[in-house]
Amino acid sequence: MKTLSKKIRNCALISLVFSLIGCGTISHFDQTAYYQVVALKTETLNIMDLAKDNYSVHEMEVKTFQTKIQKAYEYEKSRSKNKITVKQWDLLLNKDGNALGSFFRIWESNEKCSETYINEKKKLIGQCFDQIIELEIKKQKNNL
Amino acid sequence: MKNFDELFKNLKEEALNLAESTFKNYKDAAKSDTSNFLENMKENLKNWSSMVLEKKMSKEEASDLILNNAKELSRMMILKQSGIAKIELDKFSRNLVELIIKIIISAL
Repeated sequence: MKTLSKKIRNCALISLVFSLIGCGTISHFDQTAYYQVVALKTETLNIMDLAKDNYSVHEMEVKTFQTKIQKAYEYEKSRSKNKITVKQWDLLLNKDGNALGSFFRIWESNEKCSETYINEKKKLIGQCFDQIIELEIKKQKNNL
Repeated sequence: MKNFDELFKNLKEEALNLAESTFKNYKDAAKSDTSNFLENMKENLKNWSSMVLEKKMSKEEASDLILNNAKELSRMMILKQSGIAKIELDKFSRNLVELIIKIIISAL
């Protein structure tokens, strides 16, 4: 009887250990996600430079870019335990928000943006992308 | 426009009053955070104001930069920090598991 109870206790302990191993609270590092966000940072900053011209001239490029960035966002949403990174993307992409949303709104409604605004906004958007990139890198270091 | 430093001083006074009346129980911490936040933004506010005056940027564009700096970027940073906290928690769990295996399981 004593041996049986010891065996049950050991099994419970081993189960606990394996459940602890399997229950991480945040997604692991993902190479595709990392490459995507780094590439999209560059592409976004390049698209923002076009705002010195009339919006109508670059409308198609903007739409193509928005589709591409939306695909990256959908990829992030498909990763498990990835809520925090998805929230970061939400803030960055929200059409009614003050990150990329307001940039495209102002560009479209004013036809073009001032060079000063473009440069200042690029700094801020670049920093927003860096927050996403730095979190992904941190996942990488911790998985080693 | 009045002297920027004078304007900034007025802004800071009003912001500190707002923090004090909003966070009655945590007013000291709220005032300190507000003060740090405004001091960090001071240089940008000064630059953006002069750019509007020199007509290098519209008021709408300047307002957008202030909003982005004040809201979205700080939210992104908070999210990153909470993500890093979760990573540390996972790291702790893994180390704990290794410790359990090392000490308990191996002794069974």
